[in-house]
Amino acid sequence: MTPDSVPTTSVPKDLAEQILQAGVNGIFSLDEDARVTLWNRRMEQLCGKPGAEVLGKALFDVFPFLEKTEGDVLRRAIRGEPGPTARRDFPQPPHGRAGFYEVTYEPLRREDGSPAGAFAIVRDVTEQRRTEEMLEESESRFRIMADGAPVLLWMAGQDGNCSFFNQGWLEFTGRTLEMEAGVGWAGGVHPEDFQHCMHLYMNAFVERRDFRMEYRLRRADGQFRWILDTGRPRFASDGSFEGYIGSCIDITELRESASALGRLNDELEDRVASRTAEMTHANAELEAFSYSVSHDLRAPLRAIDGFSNILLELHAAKLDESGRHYLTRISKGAQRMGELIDDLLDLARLTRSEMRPTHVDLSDIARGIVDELRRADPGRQVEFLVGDAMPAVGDARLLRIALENLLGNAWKFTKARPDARIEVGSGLTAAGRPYYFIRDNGAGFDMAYANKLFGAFQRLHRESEYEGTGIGLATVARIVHRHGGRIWAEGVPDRGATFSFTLKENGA
Amino acid sequence: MTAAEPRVLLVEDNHDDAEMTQMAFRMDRIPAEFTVARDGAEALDYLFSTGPRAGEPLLQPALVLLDLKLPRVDGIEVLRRLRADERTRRIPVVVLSSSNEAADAETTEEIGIERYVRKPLDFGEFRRAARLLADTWLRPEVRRGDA
Repeated sequence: MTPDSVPTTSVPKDLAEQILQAGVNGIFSLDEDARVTLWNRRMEQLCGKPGAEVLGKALFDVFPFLEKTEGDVLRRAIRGEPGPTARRDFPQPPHGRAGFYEVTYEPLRREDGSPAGAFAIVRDVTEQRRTEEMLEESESRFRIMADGAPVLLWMAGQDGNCSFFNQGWLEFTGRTLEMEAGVGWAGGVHPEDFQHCMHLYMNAFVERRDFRMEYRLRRADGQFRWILDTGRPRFASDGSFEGYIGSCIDITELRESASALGRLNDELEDRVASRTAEMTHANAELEAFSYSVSHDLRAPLRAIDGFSNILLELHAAKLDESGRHYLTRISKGAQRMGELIDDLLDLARLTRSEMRPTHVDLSDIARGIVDELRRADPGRQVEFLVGDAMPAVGDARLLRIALENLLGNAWKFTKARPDARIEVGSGLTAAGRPYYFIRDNGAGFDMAYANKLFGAFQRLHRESEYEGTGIGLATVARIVHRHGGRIWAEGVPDRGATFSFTLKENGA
Repeated sequence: MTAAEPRVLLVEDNHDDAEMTQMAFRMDRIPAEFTVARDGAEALDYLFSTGPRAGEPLLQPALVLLDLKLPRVDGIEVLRRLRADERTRRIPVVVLSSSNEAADAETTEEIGIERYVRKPLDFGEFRRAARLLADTWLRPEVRRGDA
C-alpha cells in the first residue's frame, strides 16, 4: 500500500465496526426520530438488552424511564445542539447493571450540515465514583478531627502557601480561611517575631525538615499570644514532597510561669550567694577570733605557770611547805585552763574543716585506736570485742576523732572494773539504716541526765573521779551531725553505757 | 672565740615570754647572749644593720628565735626577708609560736625554718625545748662549720 492510497479521514467499515464493538464505553446512535441505529456490545452488557431487541426502535419506547432524564438533551442533540456531558446515577435500572455513568451526547450531521440524529458515549464511572466518595469521606473525617482538635492546625503546599486552617485556628485569629490562606496568616505574627519566623519557615521548606518555632500571634481580641508551632513535611505515597502540616499551641501561660520560675531561681541564687558570702565572712571572723584566742589567751597562762615554776626553783628556800603547795596549785590551774582552751579550739575547728567523705571501715579504725589505748596504759586488763567489718561513708579523719573520744571514754569509765569489757558493733535501725555502737560495762550514767551528755563542758562525773574537760561527747555529736547522722546513749549507773550513732540518715 | 657566748636573736613582743625564754636558758646554764627585738621591724634593723644600727657591721646571730604574731612587721615577713638575702640566708631560725594552726607551720616550713615549736604552757617543757634547741644549734662545732 502506498501512502497516498490510504484514506486519512476514514477507516474501512469492518475496522470501524471493530473499534466500536471493542470499546470499553457503551456507544449508541439514533436517527432523527430517536430510533436506535447503533447499539454496541458494551451497551448490550450495560442495559441487558441485545442489539436485536433495540435496533430500529425508538429509544424511549424501549426504555421509557429515560424520557424523564434524557429526553430533553437527546432531542437537542438530534436538532444539532451539542449537549453537555452529564453524570447520571442509575441506581436500579430495570435491566442491566446498577451504577454510575457519564454520558456524552453529540449531534450527527449530513454532508450538507443538516441534522441527521445523535450519538452517545456511555462511560461506566462507578469505580471512580466510589473512590471519590471514599476520598470525600476521609476528607470530611479529617476536617471533623482537625476542627475538633484543641490545637491550631494549618497545611501548606509545596510553595509554602497555606491552603488550610482548622476551625481552632480561625476561631483563635477571628479571621476567615480566605483571609488566612496563602501568606495572609503571617499578617497576624508580631512584627518583632516576623523576620525570625519567616526565616525559619522558609528554610525548613527548602530543606524539607521538621521545624519548631515560637512566635507571638494576634488573637481575635487583639492580644498577642505566644505560640509554639511545630511543622512537619508531608510526602505523597510515591515520596514526592507535598508541603507541610503544622500544629500550634498557646504557650503564653507556660512561658509566663517558666519566666516566673526563672526569676524565682535567680532570686534564690542571689539569696544563696549572699548567705554564702555572709557565712564566709562569719567564718573568717571566727577564724581570726580563734587565732587570737589561741595566741593571746595562752600567753598569760604561760606566764602564770612559768613564773610559778621559776619561783619554786629559784626561791624555794624562802617558801615554806604550804607556800610551795599553793604555787603548785596555781601552776596546775593554769595548765588546766590551757587544756580547756585547746579543746574548745579543736571543737571550733571541727565545725569549720572541710568534709572529705570516702569509704571507710569503722572496725579498722576502732582496732587501731584500741591498740593505741593498750600501748598507752599497758597495765589495764580490758576485753575488747570489735565487729568484723563495719563499712561506712564519711570523713575518715573526723570519724577517727569521734571513735577516739567514744573508745577513750569507754576505756576511762571502766577503769574501776577488774572485768572491763568494751564492745564495738553495728546493726540496723527500725528504718533499715545501719547504726554503730560502743558499749562498755563501766560507770554508766543515770538516764535522767542523758540530755546533758552531748553539751560542751557538761560532766556527769566529778573531775576528781574521771579526768577530762567535758568536751569529748560534744565533739562526737558535732561530727555525727556533720555527717547527717544521729547519736543517742543508754546507760545504767554502775552497769555501763552504750553510745550509738548513724551517719547520713537523710538522703542517699 | 674562747669565752664569747653564741648570739641569739629573740624576736618576741611579749615581755613575759621574752623573760621566760631567757630564764629557761639561764636556769639550765645554756650559754647564750640574748638580744631581744620587740617587733619585726626591730629584728630586721638588727639583722641588716639598718635604722638605729645603720652603718654598724652585720651581726650574724647563731640562732633566731622568732615569734609569728608581731606588731608592725610580722614574723612571716621577717622570715621571708631573711631567707631572701644572701647574707642572712643560712642563719638558723626556730619559730616559737603560740599558735597551733596548721597553716602557720606549713607556711613557715615552706619558706624555710629549722623547727616549729609551739610555746608549751608547762614551764618544764619549755626548758626541755630550750635544751634541745641549744644542743642542736648552739654547739660550738656547729657554729664554726656554718660560719
